[in-house]
Order: sequence, then C-alpha cells, then structure tokens
Amino acid sequence: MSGDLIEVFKESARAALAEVNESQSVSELTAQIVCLLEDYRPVSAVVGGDGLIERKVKEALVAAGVEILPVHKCSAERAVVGICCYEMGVAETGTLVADASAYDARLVSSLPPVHVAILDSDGVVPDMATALSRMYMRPQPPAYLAMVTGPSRTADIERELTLGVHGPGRLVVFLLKHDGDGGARDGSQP
Amino acid sequence: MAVSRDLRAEAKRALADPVLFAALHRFSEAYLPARDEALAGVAFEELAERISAIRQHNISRVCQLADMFEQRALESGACVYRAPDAASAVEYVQKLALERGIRAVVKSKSMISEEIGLNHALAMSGIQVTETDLGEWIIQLAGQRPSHMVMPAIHMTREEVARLFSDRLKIPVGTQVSELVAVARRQLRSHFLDAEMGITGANAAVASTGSVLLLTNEGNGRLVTTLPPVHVVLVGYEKIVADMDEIVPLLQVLPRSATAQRITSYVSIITGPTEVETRNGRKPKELHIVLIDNGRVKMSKHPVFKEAMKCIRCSACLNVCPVYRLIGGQVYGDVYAGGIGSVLTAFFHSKEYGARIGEFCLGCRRCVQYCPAKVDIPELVLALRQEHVAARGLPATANFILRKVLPDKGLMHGLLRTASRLQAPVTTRRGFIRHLPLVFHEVSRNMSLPALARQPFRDRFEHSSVGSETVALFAGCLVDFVYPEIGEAVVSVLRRLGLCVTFPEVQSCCGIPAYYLGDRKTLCMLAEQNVRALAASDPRWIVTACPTCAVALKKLYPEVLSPDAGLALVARTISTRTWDFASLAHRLIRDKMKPVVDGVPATYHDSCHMKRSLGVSGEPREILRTLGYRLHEMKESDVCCGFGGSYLLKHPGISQRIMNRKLDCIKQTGVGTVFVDCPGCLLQIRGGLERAGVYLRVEHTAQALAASVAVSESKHKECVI
Repeated sequence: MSGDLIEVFKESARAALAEVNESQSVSELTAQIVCLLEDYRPVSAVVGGDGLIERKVKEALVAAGVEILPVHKCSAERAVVGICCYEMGVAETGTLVADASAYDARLVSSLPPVHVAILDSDGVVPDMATALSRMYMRPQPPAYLAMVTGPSRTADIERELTLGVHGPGRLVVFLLKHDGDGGARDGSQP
Repeated sequence: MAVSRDLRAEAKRALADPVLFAALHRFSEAYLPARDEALAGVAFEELAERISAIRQHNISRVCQLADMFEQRALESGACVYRAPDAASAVEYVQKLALERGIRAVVKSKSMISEEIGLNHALAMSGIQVTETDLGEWIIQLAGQRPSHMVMPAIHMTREEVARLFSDRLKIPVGTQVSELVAVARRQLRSHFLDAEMGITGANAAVASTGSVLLLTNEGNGRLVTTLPPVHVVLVGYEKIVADMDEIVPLLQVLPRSATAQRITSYVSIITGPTEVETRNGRKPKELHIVLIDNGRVKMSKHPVFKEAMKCIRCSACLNVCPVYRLIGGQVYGDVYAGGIGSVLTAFFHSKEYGARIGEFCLGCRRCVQYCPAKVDIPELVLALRQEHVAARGLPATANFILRKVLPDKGLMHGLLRTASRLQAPVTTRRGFIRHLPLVFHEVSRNMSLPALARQPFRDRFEHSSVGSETVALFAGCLVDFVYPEIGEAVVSVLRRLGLCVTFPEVQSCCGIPAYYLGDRKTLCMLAEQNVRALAASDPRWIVTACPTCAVALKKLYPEVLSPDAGLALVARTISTRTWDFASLAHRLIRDKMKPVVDGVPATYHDSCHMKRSLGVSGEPREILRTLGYRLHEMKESDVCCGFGGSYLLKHPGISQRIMNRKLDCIKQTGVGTVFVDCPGCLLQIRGGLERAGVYLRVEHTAQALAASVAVSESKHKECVI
C-alpha cells in the first residue's frame, strides 16, 4: 500500500515538473546530491536545518569541495543550490510539506535557483487532508506551513510556461527509502 | 476607479484589438481541456456542492467567524485591524508604514489591495510599492490596468513586454519569454531583499487558528512573506473559513479552476509572526492582518446578493465567458471582472457602476456550469439590473431602443429588414403584428410594426378537437410572429401521434425579454396572463419549441407568482406540465422513430437555455440520430450564439463577434445542416450564415421530425413515428 502511495507521489511530483530520485540509504543520498551538484561547479550551497541527515549532507558536500554558505538572505541569494528536508509528501498532488516556521527553511528553498528536497518515504501521505490534519494536530502547529509542488513557474507572458521566475527553476526531490535490507537507515540512527 | 468610463467605447476599442483577441481566445481554448485534465478523478459537482454549502454557512455567521479569527490571530501574536471600509484599511497601512519609516514595499498579487486603491495611496506618501507577480509588475511598469484576474498582462505580446522592459529599465532585452522572465527575476531580486514591508492578500483566513492561506506559483509570495520585517495581510470577510478542514476542498478546486493546475507551486499557511533577519540580527517579524469589510457584511445580509459572497475568486467564470474572451477584464469589469465583478463592484464601490458593467452579461449561464462555488452569477447580474431599473427607471438598453432605434428609420428598418429577409420564403407581403416580439414589447404599446411573417402562427393554426390527450402549444414570440412554420412542425408531429393540440389564444410573450432588461413588473404581468390562458383548458402537457419560453413557464412563473398563493399553485401545475419540444417528443416517440435520411451529415447547436437552464442536450441528438442524421459535433457546441435576446440590440458588435465564432465552429464541421432547438439561435445563426454567404440549412429539431412525418405519409409507409 505504502509502495503504491510512493509511486503515486512520484508520478504526481513529476507531473508538476519536479525531478524525483530514490535513495536507498543516506550514504547513497549524499552521493547522489554530490553527483547532481557536479553540473554546477564551482558550486555553493545553503543547507537548512541541522538534523542528522542535513549534517551528513553537509559533510559529504564539504568533502566533495562544495562551498557551504551560512544561511542568511545574502548568502542564500548567492548560493546555487538550497537543500532541506521535508516532513511529508502528498501523493495526490506530489506536494512536499514542511513546518517552515524557521526562517532558514524558507530561505534555502526560495532564493537559490536549484532546490534539493529530501523526503523520507515514510512521510508520504495520500492527500492534503491527511497532511493538514497531521500538521495541525501537533501540540505546536507550524507558524509557517510550506507546501511546495514542482518548481517556481509563471505563464504571465503569452501564457508560455516558464520555470524559475522568483523561486527555484529546478526542484530535485530525493525520496529516502528504507525498504531494503535493513541497512538503508544507516544514517538515520546515531 | 472611473465611474465615468464610457464602457461602450471601450468595448469597441477592445473588439478592434487583434492582440487581445488572439491572446484571450488562445487562453480560453486551452483552459477547458486543461481544467478537465486537472479535474480527472475529482468529483467536481460534489466538491462544488460542498464548497457552496460551507460558504453559505459561513456567510450566515460571518461576523462571528471574524470575531473568532481576530481572537485567534491576536493569540498567535499578530496584530489585527478590522477595517470597515476601503479608506480606513488604506489609512491603517499608510500610518503603519510611515510610523516604521518604511520607504520600500513589495507586494504579491492582491485583488483587495486594488479594490481599496492601496498602491496609489502609499505612493502619495512617498513609499515605493513594487508589484512582484510578473504580470502585475509588467502592468505596473506599463501604467495599465490588469486585463485578466489570474493573468493580468495577457493582452501584451512578448515584443511589447520586451519594449517595455528596454524603455523602463534602460537595458537591452531580447524577446524570448525565458529571457524576459530572467530579467524580471534579476530586477526584482533587490526589491525583495531590501523591502521593509511585504503586502499580500490571502486566499483564506482560518477562524479556528487565526491563520492565513496563500497560493502562488511564482514564489514571490514566499519571498514577500519571508524577507521583509513587516508583513501586512489584506483579507476580505468573505475569505474567512471556520477551520482547517474547510481549507481542503478550497485547495482542491481553486488551482484547478483558476489555472487548471492540480495545485499551485506554493501553498503557505501563516499563523502568527515568524522570525526575520534584520541588520541587527534575527528578531520576530511584525504581522498585521487587516480584515476588510468594505460592503461585505452588508452583502452577506442581503437576501439575494449574499450569494456573491460564495465567490472564491478563481476566475473560472471569466475563463469560459464568451463576452470576456472578446473584450477582457479591462472593459468588462473594474477591479473585479466579468459578471461576478459587476456584482462585487456594486457592493464594494457603486451600485450604479456595477449595474453598468453587468450590462455586458449575455445571460448564457456558461459560468454557472463551471463555478466551483455554485454562484448563479447571471441571476445576480439580473437582480442588480432589476434593482437598478426599479430605482432609476428604464435601463440604457431600453432607452437605446426607444430613443435611438425607433426614431432612426435606417437603423430600425435595417434590423427589421435583416429579420424579414430571413423570412423571404414565407413572407410575400407585410401586414402588421398585434404583439411585438422580443425587446420591442416596450415599443408595441405605442405603435405597430410590420409583421415579419406574412401570417403569424396564431392565424395559421387550425383548431381541431380530434385526439386523445390534450397538448397546449405555447408558441412564444419568435415562433408566433417570425417562424410560424416551426409551430406548424410541432403541431404536425403531435397530431400524428394522435394528440389533441390546442393553441390557447390569450397567450402572449413569455416575458423573459422584459425580465432580461431588468423589468420584472412586465414579467409578472405576462406570467399571470399566460398561466391563466394555459390553465384554462387543463391540458395534460404544455409544449413549446422555444427553450427560453420553457424556462419562463417551468422556472420563472412559479417564482414570480409566489406572492399570490392561488396563482402560484396554478403556476406550479403549469410548470410540471411544461415540456420543451425535443424532450416531449423524445419521451413520447423515441421507440417509434425510424430513419428517414441515410446518414446525412449534420451538426447540433445547444441553446443556452436548453442546455444549462433545462439541462437538455442528449434528447435532441438522439432524435436526430434516430432519424438517420450523422451528427458531427462542432467545437464549443454549447457556447452562446450571441443572440441573447435583447443582447443583439444592446451590444451588436459583441453579439456579432460571438456569432462569427459560432459560424466558424459550424463551418469547421463541413456539414450542410445545423439543427437547433431555439428559434432565437435559429434567427441568429441563419441570419449570420446568410450574411456571410454561406448556404447551410438551419432548422429546428421539430422541423426534422415533421419532415419525417411528411416523408412517411408520402411514401404510404408505416408510420415513421
């Protein structure tokens, strides 16, 4: 069932012009992100959040010679890539959902031209109703709930679809799966 | 906001603008297929019912919800100001900006900020306001008004935008759209980073949490709500929903209806202030929510117009409006466009001005079909018109007919000649008619005009009491005076079935033309007259070959006669017994019909009243197919032909352009015969084709059936029907 949901999520996200990759482990995830950033060298990145996965990503990027900038508006504006984790994915629409009450979370996902979104596949829910009710049932509901579906887009000139008008023109989603041999969560446990 | 606008002149200019025409048509053509795709797997009707129910409930308790919202928003740390009107809302924001020493403001698209005239007021205080939605920014640079609610710059070509950018930004710019978008990104970036205040609207305000909801695609909304240290949200009372559960259906329909997307790129829900970066480090930002009434509470208490409070501002109604796609929102509307715009303008700005904008509404009801909140926009426009007429007398249209058409022999005879030319095969000499059809009902009190048919139906009808059950025929003006042959076709088919067809003589115009001019009094008078006439013989069925008359008999009469209990009861009986011809024929003879033609290619045009008021579209097609016609569906078969009763006289230019489009759709099918079920559509389409020198047969479904009766009789075969 959850496998189906993930497939639906991937399909919906791609329909919204997001790129979707799967990562079987955190180490694979970090390698994939490093690989993605090769195309942009010399490349600087901003990473939002300070959880285990974000730390692993930062480590891997630094090791690969990517410049990690501190998160504030001028650096985020300068960075090529912004990276952060999302808590939920809505299968119905391919939407990424996060409590973006932290200023950093919004900076890294809205200013750089490329946005890398990491989503634990356990976080995929069927629809908006589920996502919203989970978010607002929390003891501390988000002050700023962010829902992101595909890249920034406009059709304001002659109705021609153009990506990346004010937000990122490229959205790359990494779905972190752990349905493998148990080693998949190698990075998620201290 | 220019109440003194010359709307007719503006419409004329818009009609002559090929760029606007092409852009709006391209958009409207792409919209419906894209919307259908976005709605795949969604039960739209059910969802629309739900939205409608939610909003109806919320309208009835709008002040209570506003109180709750204010309370929760305050608890979340926001400042809330309840602005009774536009001026006070503007003053609040202006004062706030001045007190904080704010010089630069960035905005994401907000209709309500335009409604209250905020940009102008802030600019007057020396504050620089930058619109950041690409379309709005283009319009701001050009010093124009938006032409479309969702795509404000849709009327401009890429070349025009490139020229504008080069002129205003003093930089060389190519004409690739991607390049233009990149210019906008670069240019606006510093505005985002440096702005001291961000202003947004809201797609909803949630009472139970004090949250505001924002849907955007470009990402400017996220920057406007994230970067500046002060965030001002402008939100109208109609946007308040009770709780998060009510957000869900809104998220499901709003993007799908607005831009045919399953969801917008960004959905943000803000509850209280968050942290922001300043020169002195991080600190909580200031969040100000301005809850704006400006006529909304009054609207929510109005027995009729509270319906407009259901509007979720998706613009689906505009996307499918045949008038809007010709003249756009710069003409057809003020801040809010189209039919719904006229109603909103009436409450937020001026009743008179709103009613004037509403004159562009054709009443084709296409918008109702696609409205995700089930707002009956044409009825509201009509109610506005009626209010206007009741307060100020004759509408401009009637004035136009009475004072311009009548004294102007050329114009009047031109109109009549056109109609009478159509009647050439049956009109050999001109007599006089007793009751004038359509909009000339006003005129007919004072004078007679030449008859269009040599002999009206009422004089050609041969009474006969033969037959089992009684069917009373309601002719309607066009059948009676212009196309008596359609009435005769109906009679021949029904008599062939062994029915006793009667024609109650006292019947007159159904009253809808008067009603559409805002003259409810005349409708009531005619309703009573017709109901009494039809009830006299206690017929089993009442049939009419005009869907507009059917709407009057079935839907309007019981309503307008409701103050008189006795009469209302009769009207309800009449209503249940009334049938449009195609539906009655389908019911009575569907099993008895046999083919009489062998795959003759034909097409069918759906009349607005037939399809959307009566809900009939399959029956006539089934009849025609059974008779042996091979139906080729034309594009947009259910889009109005432009006749619209008096609309033809009110806005001849628009009417003609809508008709031309219909003719193109007909011609594209390559068939030789067009069937319709409405004599008005028949008049318009036949007249248009003749003027264009295209010789196609345009007939009423009743005529197809009657011809089959004749064929069967001449061949002495077994009865076809």
